[in-house]
Amino acid sequence: MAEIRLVRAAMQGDREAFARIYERYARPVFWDLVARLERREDAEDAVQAAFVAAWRALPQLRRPERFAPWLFRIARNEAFDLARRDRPRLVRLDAIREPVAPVSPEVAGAEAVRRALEGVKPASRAIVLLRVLEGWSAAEVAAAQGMSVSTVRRRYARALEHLRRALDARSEKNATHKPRRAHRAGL
Amino acid sequence: MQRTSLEERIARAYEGLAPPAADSTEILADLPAQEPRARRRFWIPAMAAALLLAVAVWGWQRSGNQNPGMLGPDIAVQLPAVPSKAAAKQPRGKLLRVRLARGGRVLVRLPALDGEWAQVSLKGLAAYLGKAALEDHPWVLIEADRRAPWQHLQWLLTVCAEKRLANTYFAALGGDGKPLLLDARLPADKALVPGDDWKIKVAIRIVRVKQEGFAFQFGDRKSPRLVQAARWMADALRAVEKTEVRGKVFGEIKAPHRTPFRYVAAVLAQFRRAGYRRVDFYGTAIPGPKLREALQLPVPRTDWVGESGKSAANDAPVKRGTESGR
Repeated sequence: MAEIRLVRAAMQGDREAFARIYERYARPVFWDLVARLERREDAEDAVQAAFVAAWRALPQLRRPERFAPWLFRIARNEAFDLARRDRPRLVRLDAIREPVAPVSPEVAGAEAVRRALEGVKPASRAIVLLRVLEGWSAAEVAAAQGMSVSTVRRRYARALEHLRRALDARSEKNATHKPRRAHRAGL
Repeated sequence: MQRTSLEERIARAYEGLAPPAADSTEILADLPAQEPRARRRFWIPAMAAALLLAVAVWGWQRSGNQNPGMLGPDIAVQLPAVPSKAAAKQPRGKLLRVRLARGGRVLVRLPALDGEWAQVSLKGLAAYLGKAALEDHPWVLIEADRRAPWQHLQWLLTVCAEKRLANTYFAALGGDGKPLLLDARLPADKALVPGDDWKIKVAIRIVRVKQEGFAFQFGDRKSPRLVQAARWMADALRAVEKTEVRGKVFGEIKAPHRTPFRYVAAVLAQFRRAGYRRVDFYGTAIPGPKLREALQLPVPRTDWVGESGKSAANDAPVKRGTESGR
């Protein structure tokens, strides 16, 4: 069923239609929030809260064809509300910066990529995640984010360029550090 | 879509963070009731109507609104009709109120018209003032719209001066009736008989007010800030006092004729805060060709040619008929 029909049905109170919408947008909304929040846990909670809020407010939606940016906006508001609340922090062990045990090269590489992506703006990071992880086209991302297609393409290209440079710089740094350690060991 | 190696690295980096597959059963169980659809609000017509109303009011005011009630007592200038300073302290005659609207039109409240505001020409006003000055010695209260061009107020003052209504000095009053500015004087003041104590000894600076705003020139230094100008003014005043220059400190103000009066008034207020008690208007106080044509007035003396930055004590000519004093 086309998205617009799902949205119109959900506006009339059709829960099954809303379930299809949830299955379609839960992951993209999650990646958008991961790009904007510090903690993955906040993003997960915000996704649930956002869809509940969207369901309640759906009858007020004036332009069903603009459902995606409307939903993303609700999700961001919910996420920021959640982040502002004072609640005990739950931290994933793999999110801890200083490893307590030796890490594999794969884990270290993944961490390096995430750190490098933190150097770009959240909006650009969200574009990267939606395009790479969800396989969305630039037009789809633009529609969801409320941007023009050219803006999405430009930001995506800049973010990848930034990431490439950051990773290259990191690999060069590691290459220069290794001989020094060996030299010290030799002493 | 074919991923590049960099995109593959990104995907691998975030695959551990990916949420479990979206399962709608959990969220469907928690869905609350939907909010009923609210009535469509008519905010767009309301905003459009408000915008049209604002444009209409703006255009009405822009076109030279002559409603006296809209003018407001922004600036009031009292012109005593008596020639001596001692007698000018309190009005003893009746008060004649004259309003200067933004467009330069002059409104007068006449007892003969049951207190209604009537628009008059400068020529008619001059004739009336000349007659009234002889009979009743009235005080003239000029209420100038703060947006009124400075030149129009000068014309009014000049008319009053020609009819010996402004032959001492005038003070500008605020909306609450308290003196807002300092005593000031027009060079068209012909009724003054200069005495020894009226000679000008020191002139400090020339202030030029630009018509577009508060940016103005103060002597040889330029500043967009009135507060800075006030500070410089006070410094200059103290410097004069330290050198024990005998005589009267005298400041001048010069403004283009299109300058809104509020800017002139603001600069005058700074003069007053800096310690000046009197400021002369010169140069642009010359009646314009329209006024000369209407009144056949002789052009007043304009032999004052002081320039900024010059040694005021030596270069400033003494203008006949101008009073000094702090």
